[in-house]
Formats: sequence, C-alpha cells, structure tokens
Amino acid sequence: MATETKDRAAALKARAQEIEYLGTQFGLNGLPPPPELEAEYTQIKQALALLEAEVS
Amino acid sequence: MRATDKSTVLPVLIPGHEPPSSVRALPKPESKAAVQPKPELQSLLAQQAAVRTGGQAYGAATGPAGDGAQLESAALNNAHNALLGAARLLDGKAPSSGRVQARLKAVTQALNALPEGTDIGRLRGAASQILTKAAASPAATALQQALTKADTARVLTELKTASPSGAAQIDTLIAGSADAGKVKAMLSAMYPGPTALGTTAAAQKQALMKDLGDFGVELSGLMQSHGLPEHLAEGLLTMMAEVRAGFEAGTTTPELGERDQDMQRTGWVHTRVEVLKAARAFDAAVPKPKGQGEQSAHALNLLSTLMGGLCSDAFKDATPHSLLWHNRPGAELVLPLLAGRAFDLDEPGMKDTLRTAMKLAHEHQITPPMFMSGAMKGQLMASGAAPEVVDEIEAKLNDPLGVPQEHGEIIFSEAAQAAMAKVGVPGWATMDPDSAHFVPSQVVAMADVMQYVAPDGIIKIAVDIRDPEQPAAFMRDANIKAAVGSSVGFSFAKGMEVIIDPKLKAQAQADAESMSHDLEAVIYPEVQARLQAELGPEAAQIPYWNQDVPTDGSMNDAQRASVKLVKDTLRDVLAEHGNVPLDPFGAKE
Repeated sequence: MATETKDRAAALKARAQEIEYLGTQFGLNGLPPPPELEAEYTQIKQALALLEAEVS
Repeated sequence: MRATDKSTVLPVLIPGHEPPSSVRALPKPESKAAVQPKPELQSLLAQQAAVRTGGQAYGAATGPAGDGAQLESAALNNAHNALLGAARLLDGKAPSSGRVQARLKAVTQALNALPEGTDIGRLRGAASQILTKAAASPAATALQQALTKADTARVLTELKTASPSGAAQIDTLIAGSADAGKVKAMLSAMYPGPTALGTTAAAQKQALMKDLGDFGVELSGLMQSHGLPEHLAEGLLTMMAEVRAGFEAGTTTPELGERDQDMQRTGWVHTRVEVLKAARAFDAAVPKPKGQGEQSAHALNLLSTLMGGLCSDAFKDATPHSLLWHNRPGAELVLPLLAGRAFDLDEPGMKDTLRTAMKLAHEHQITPPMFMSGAMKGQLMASGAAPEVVDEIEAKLNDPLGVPQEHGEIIFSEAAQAAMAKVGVPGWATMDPDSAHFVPSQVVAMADVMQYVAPDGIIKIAVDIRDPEQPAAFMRDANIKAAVGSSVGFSFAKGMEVIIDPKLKAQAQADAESMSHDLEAVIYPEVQARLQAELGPEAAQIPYWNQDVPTDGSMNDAQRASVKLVKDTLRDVLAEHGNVPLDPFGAKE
C-alpha cells in the first residue's frame, strides 16, 4: 500500500511539474494558460494533500 | 549585393522652411498605361484643393483632369504637400491641434483613393518621420494604418518576385491563416523595407551593430572562420538589421494590440542572441571542410542555418494561432522578402540556400513537442474537432521525429488534415534525419531551446513570467531560485528532447552546465551583494531571495516590495552578465 501511495504521489508530482512548465510556455508566447490546466492542477494538489494525510 | 534602397529617401522636412522644388513633386508611377483612375479620385483632388488651413492652400499640385497616371501623380503630390504642411505646423503646435490633424487627414484621404499597387514607399518614408512626432494622435494613427494598407500590394509583389515557392502558395498560405487581413498588415507594417520605414539599410545596420555589441563581433568572426564570403556575411547582417527594424516597428504599429506589440520587443531580445547561438552550435557540430572544393557549400550551409534561425520567430503575435503557425510566415513570407533585398538570388547557390533556410525555419516548430501538441489540442477542441482526430494530431505532434513524414511534413489522415486547416494550420513540419539539412535543422531548433539556459530566457521566465502572485497557481514560486530552476532544469530538458545529434547534445549540455556554474559562482553572489548593499548588512532574511514567500495570496506589502527588489536585482545582474538589452528600442528613454 505504501509503495502504491508513493508511486501515485510521484506520478501526481510529475504531472504538476508538467503543468508548471506548460504555464511558463504559454507565458513565453504571450498567452494566458488555459483554465483546464488550473483545474487539473488544483485537483492534483488536493489529491497530493489527501495522500500525504493518508501516509501520516 | 542588391541595393536595399531602390529610391532616395525624401529629404527630411524642416518645419518652417519651404522645401526645395525637387521634393514637391513625386515621380509619376511607372506603369502609367495600366493605371486606371478611381471614380472617387477626381472628386478627391477637388476636395484636397479645397482644404485650407489658416488660409493657406496646400493642394497646389491639384491639376486639371487627366488620365489615371496624371491623377495618381497629382494625388501623391497633394498627399506629400499635406505632409509638408503638417511638418511645418508640428514645429510649433501640439500634434493634436486641429490644423495638424486636418493635414494628416488630407494625406489619409489621398492615400485611400489611390489605385491598389501604387508605389508609395518614398511617401511612406517621409510620413514615418513626421508620424514619430505626431504619434498617438487619432489622425496620425489613421494615417499610419492607411500607409500600411496602401503599401501592402507593393510588399506582396516584392515577396512573390523573390520567393521560390511561387505566388499561388503565398496567397494560399495567407488566405488559410486565421486572419488574412492581419497577416498582410503585419507584413506591410514590419517589413516594408528601409525606405518605407523612413530610414536606410546602412542606418539600420548601424543600429544593429550598436545593439549587438560584442555579439556582433563574435558572430562576424564565426562567419569569417567558416569561410563565408564577406558580401554574404554582410547580406546576413542586412537581413538581421531588417528583422530588428521589423520588430521595432511592430512595437508601435496600430495593426497590433498591446500584447502583440510587447511580444515584438521580447521577440527581438530572443532573436538577437539566437542567431549567435546558432552560429556557435554550427561551429561545434559541423566540422570545417578539409578540401577547398567543399568550402563554398560549407559556407552556404552556415548561411542558410543563420538565415533560418533569424527568421524562424520573425512573424509572431500573441495569439494561439500564431503560436502554431508562425514558422510558416517566418519561412514563406519574411525569409524570401528579406533575402531578396539583401542578396543577389541569381548568384550561384543562393536560391538553394534560401530554400534550405526556409525549410529550417519551418522545422524549428517541432520543439517543445509536449507544449506544442497541447496547444494544438486546445485549439482543435475549441473548434469542435472529433476526439479521435484530436488524439491523432496530439500524438503525432508529441513524437515529431518518430511518426511518418514526407518532405519534412508529418503525414496526417484526411480528417486530421481538415481539422487542422479549420484552425488555420495547414500541416506540421518536422525534421527528417535522412535529409541533407538535418544537422542545420537541429542547430536552429537547439539555438531556440538554449534560451532556457541563457540570461535572456531566464529573465523572461524568472522575472517577467513567474511570480508568487500570478493568477495561475502553477506559475508561482516561493523564491526566485525556484523560478530560475524551472528554466534551467525542466524547461531546458523538455526542449532538448528533439535534439538527437550527439555533438549538439554535448554542446548544449556544456552550455547548460556553464550557465549553472555562472549562476552559483557569479550571478547569485552579485545579487546577494547588491541586495545587502540596498538593505543593509543586518538584513539576513530577504523574502523571495533566501526566505520563502507565501504563494496562496497572503503576501503582505513588505514581502511584495522584496519580491520586486529581488526580481529587479536579478534582472539587472543577468542583463549585465549576458549582454541583454532590457529596452532594446529605447522606448523608455
């Protein structure tokens, strides 16, 4: 279970990093990031918080 | 080298002084027989003659009714006379005064009535000098737009003459874009030639070399060391000077919105060093020939690489469509137009050099695949494309070197091709590892990617874009080193995914390590020293520098002020370290 949780957390963190990167790319091109990225990022952060609570 | 200025610039108008007779009359159009008078031209001339300001008529050139060419010439002269009147008035009056505005409106009227294709290059150049003084007034804006529009046909004709793709392909490309009118206006506003911008090729080049400083010396040295003949090296610099002038014109042209205009400033900051990065990468990856017989081809190989890098981002605005499409106008519109002015394309090898450069500019688009595929997906979904079609396109853009391709274009299903055409993107260029220009194509793409580990790019990302109070949570950082880290770390790695040439990969990695070393050994200590000097030695904890700030919207004023100080300090140190002009066109002076 602990391994699964760690893997899940790692995957979520990786995707969060991708979203952070995509936001920067939109900025570099003078564009605001699309709202769906914000929604996905919020969901990831919430999921990560739940996983951390689960582990602790 | 073909002369860039095909006509003499009208003399600078001296307010308060009657101009010599030589500048009163503009030459008649060359194609007199073909010019047909517009029905409204005759009445316009009468109107112009009737326009009086302060009792002084400036419609003196209005003459008797005649054929189309005579009327056109008279209208041009009237417009010019109105410009002279405006110039005289601008010496002592506010640009918004009624008399100045009336004269500028008269010029606009004259332009709007001219037959399409009338050569107004010289008139436009004279006007640009006056409009600098009258900028931002309504009549000046209207006149500038009329000049741009009236000159579009001439610029397009020049482009079609120089382009190896042919007139039909250019028309198709523009017509298939998201906003054909804006594309034509941008082309005419940014790349009409030095004369129409009120300057000369020599003055543009002088401004370029001053701007580049040491970069220009290094670039010239690399071109020389690879055996590029002097006239071709000069031609490249002529093109680069025009690109710079184009970006500068783009920062103020009324055809572009505020965000589009600012993109031209940052676009030049990026491009000015990208050409040098391409030259450095070429130097590292492409060995110099041992035999004299290969020297010419090698030198032209370098030239096409630099031309491709120079124009790859030279036609871009701040719209999602432009993000996905800008490689095509860079390759098909800007490159041939500027090459036609800077080089004799009939010189042996030059047509092929131009064609190769166009391919390189096309192909730079593939990176970063993850971002480009996602941006395309967003546009397709917004257009209502079927999910399976979106999936196909996203997958192919995300693996540009692995999917089937033909002549440097990814092969899509018919449905996918149609869906992309619907959003104004006619296809997706990629690199062909089997092509003769594969390594130069990799060089151009890598030069673009190197911004993430260079001062210009780090400033854009860590100072201009990322911020603890960005509206989007995922664009916030608790300290500025994290923002820098996102540039030199993840962004750089993603961009490099398509660079597979071993020598280039090694060169890029070495440059990245050098930047990381400079950050730790030179830049951060200097920032620390300047912050300490500003805040005093007792300031041990400096928010956003060595102390995290909240990114949940709870930052206080003191933290906010510290964020600004830290950003400004890092920006200044990076700019000094990397020869980055923060105000490249002197807009803040």
